[in-house]
Amino acid sequence: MSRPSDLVQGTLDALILRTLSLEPLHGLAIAGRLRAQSDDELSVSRGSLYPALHKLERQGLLRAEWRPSASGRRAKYYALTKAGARHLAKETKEWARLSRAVSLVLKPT
Amino acid sequence: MSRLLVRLQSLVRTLFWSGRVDREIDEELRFHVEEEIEAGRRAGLSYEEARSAAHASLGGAPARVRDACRDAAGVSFVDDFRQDVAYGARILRRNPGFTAVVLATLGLATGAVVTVFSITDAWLLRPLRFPAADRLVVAFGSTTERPTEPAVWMPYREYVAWKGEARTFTVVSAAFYHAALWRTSTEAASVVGLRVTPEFFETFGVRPLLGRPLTTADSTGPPAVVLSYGFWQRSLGGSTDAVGRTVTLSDEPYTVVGIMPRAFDMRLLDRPEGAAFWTLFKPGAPGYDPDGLGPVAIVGRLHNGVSIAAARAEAESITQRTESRYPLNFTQFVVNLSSLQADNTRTIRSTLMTVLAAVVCLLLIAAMNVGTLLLGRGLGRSGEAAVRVALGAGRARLLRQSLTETLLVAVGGGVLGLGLAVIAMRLFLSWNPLGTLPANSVQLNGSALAVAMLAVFVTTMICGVVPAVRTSAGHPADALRGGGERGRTVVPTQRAQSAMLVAQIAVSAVLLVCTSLLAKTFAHLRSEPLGFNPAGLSVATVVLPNTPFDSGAARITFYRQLADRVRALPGVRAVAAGTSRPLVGGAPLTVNTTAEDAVSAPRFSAQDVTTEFFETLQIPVVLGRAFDRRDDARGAPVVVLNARAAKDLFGDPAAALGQRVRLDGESWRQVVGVVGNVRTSFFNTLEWQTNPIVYRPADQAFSRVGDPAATSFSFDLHIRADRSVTDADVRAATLAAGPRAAVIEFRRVPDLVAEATRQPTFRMTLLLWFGAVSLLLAAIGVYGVVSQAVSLRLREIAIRLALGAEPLALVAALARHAIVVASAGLAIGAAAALMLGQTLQSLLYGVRARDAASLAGAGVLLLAVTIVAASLPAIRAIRRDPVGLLHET
Repeated sequence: MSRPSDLVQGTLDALILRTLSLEPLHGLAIAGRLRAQSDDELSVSRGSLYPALHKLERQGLLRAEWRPSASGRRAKYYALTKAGARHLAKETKEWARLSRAVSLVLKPT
Repeated sequence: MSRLLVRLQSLVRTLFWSGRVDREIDEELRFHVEEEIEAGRRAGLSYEEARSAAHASLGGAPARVRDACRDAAGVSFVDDFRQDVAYGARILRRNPGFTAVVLATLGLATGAVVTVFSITDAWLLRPLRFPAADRLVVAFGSTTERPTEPAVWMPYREYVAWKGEARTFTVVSAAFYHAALWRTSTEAASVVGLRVTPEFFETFGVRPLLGRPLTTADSTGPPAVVLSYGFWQRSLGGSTDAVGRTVTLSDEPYTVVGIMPRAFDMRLLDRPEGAAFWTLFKPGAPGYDPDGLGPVAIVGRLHNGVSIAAARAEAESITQRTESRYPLNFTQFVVNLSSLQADNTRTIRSTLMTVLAAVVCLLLIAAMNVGTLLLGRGLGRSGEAAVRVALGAGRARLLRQSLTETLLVAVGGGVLGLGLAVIAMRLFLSWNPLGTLPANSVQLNGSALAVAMLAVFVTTMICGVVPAVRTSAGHPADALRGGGERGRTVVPTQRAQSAMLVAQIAVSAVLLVCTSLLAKTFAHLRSEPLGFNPAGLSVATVVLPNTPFDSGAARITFYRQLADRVRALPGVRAVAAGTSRPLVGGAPLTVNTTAEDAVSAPRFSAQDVTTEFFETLQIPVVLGRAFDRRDDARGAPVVVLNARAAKDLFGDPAAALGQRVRLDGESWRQVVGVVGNVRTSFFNTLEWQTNPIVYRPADQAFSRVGDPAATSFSFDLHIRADRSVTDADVRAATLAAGPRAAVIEFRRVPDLVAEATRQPTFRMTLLLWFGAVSLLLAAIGVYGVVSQAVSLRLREIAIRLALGAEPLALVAALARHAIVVASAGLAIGAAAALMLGQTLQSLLYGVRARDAASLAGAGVLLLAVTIVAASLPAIRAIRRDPVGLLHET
């Protein structure tokens, strides 16, 4: 499993928010989505997904709700709040700017 | 907004349902692990393999992940808080002496603030108990020099004019005091009610409890009265069939038409209690016709949204316009319109504000004192804090812990303070030091609780934040290297301590200067000669009903009989009668010195006195003579002026002798004497006033009919005695002299003098106490700081002593820092006192706000206390054996 050595602070948050921007998901599904969407490039750093989810919930960027999962068991689903959506938009813009800058620097001449 | 809500929800959840949050995290993680295991099994892994893969995807064992989640969700914050509270409580329990001092200090200060606030709240902040009470206003006349102090009543005709023209009022009514003689089967008393106009009750918007209000129809037909709840209980036993019954007031029957509810506590000026009854102005009474000058307070209700200033402006312009149509008019006065509540609290307002400011100062001092002590304790614990920082405790965590400890102390002090406040309020109500209680009840209500919480918050901030920042600011290695004592953390901590001490001493200095100013005011009021001798003097107010005492001769004859009987009482030296009590000027009369009535003629207080009056009160005759037997009803009309009246009228007392004056349309009277001024206390001003007074001989004036509607005549019997004469003696003598006569009040003159200086006395007494407490706290603060500094330098002290240092010089060196700090505080305090003193000016008498002696006195006192408190620990240290000290440290 390869992963970028140091994700820029806040990137995990942005990724979680992005994943949830389509539909509410539970933690396991978020992990799966992140792996699948990034062609297995990005695996969430060990042990940081759930703390990040709780932190985002406390910050009011996510809203959580218990409801039955596909397997029929009760699972905690996270959904984006309005503040979360705004935050995501801001982060996305930031990220685009940053990645453009980085790729400019790293571009082979 | 919604984000804030979500955050709030999550905080509430973690605060109150942290157990549930824990369970939810567990369930969430279990779901993850179990689903992953199942997926692994489906992919053909063994259970063990699937489980370890599941844990790997979770990022570790569920327990570890759970802890990380708890931190992220903020649960740990709540746990930390609980832990800190427990830890703080343990520390406080371990130092019971320290804890007791701190709790007592904060408790007393908080209690004082809450008590004074609750009293202020009942008087000044809570609206009076009438519908839309903030729109009720009352008007008097004021002089242009003192536009905020009522000087005269308004003339009745202005009530008529305002009623017709004013647009800013919804209702205008008028009221004037009506003291009535009320007899029970055993004795007589004076009850104070009001004569009012028919719109009066409409103005207040309150319906009677029983019956109906007074109406215009009541001005014809039998006289009607509405009773207050209290007087209904007293006179008719609160019987429900009271309406329609008869109450006799001043020997005149009134039909009861209504009873007002208990909450209807209606006062004018600073009356200690509400009016007992209400009657209409008598139709045809002189002065109470559309052109009349009869005295009234105009009571009105403003339209919604109209400011008092706007209403005053309109009333003033109507008044000036109406009055200019009359030759004898009111134009030298200005309309003084104030809210009814402000009117009811004229003298008490400044006292309450002063005391409230003083207790707030006291709370600040107490908080800073406790802060200094906590800082000192933090100094001793800097080693502990350093260890915790070194072991990985975050600075924020330490700060939080320190704040939690302080909060614990502050809440303890707050709860103690609330308890003390409840007791103090009870004491206040039974002691009643201001001589009057507010119409609203004094109670511990929501706003008082809010004030207590604010006090707790302020103390926590003052006591807690500085020590916490200091504790967490030092580098742990320094504190550890120094064994927690001699590290560099000590220096910033001491600096913070010094700053706090400076602030504390500065506030104490302000408080002490103000105390000194008020004490001087009080001393001036007490020491200034009154112009008469109050010692051994008593005064009884005697009421003579018009039947049978309908003439001056009858009244004089009665007085002579009464005086003979009273003179026969043991110890009585002299007896006299007059129409005013000591300290009271008397009803004003227009004094003309020319044949025509001059518009500019002054109005002076007039008193009608018997021949023994000046001798009995020991008022000196300056020029000419006092009244004697020549000045009877058949003698030439004469008058005696006091020195101030003589000077005002004729420029010089000597020039007054032999001159003639006319009083209120009487015939000429010749000035036969000039007597010394006596002090009078105006009802709402602090200082003794030296007003011009004219005296007429009783034989020539008791026959006068000031108010033809009055059904009785009253005079004040002045009795000078070696031994105290009792109320009962005088009442018995009065009854024996004439069965219809009644004594309605008996007072000792020294008590009257004390009452007139009650507000300044109360202010001074309380501030003396607060000043003393602030001195004590300053001493504790200085002592604490120096003894901590000394304990940190014990080794150095021992070495210096062993090397033969001069002990006194060493004490001076140790105490110097505290004394320098105190001096800095003094300087700041003195500057602040100079600036704040101006606001106190209106409460001062005979002393200026920038009183050098008060400043110097407060400074010397504080400095002396500082030097003693700073030297004691230093002296104690050098008395110890240096060798023992060195071994110890």
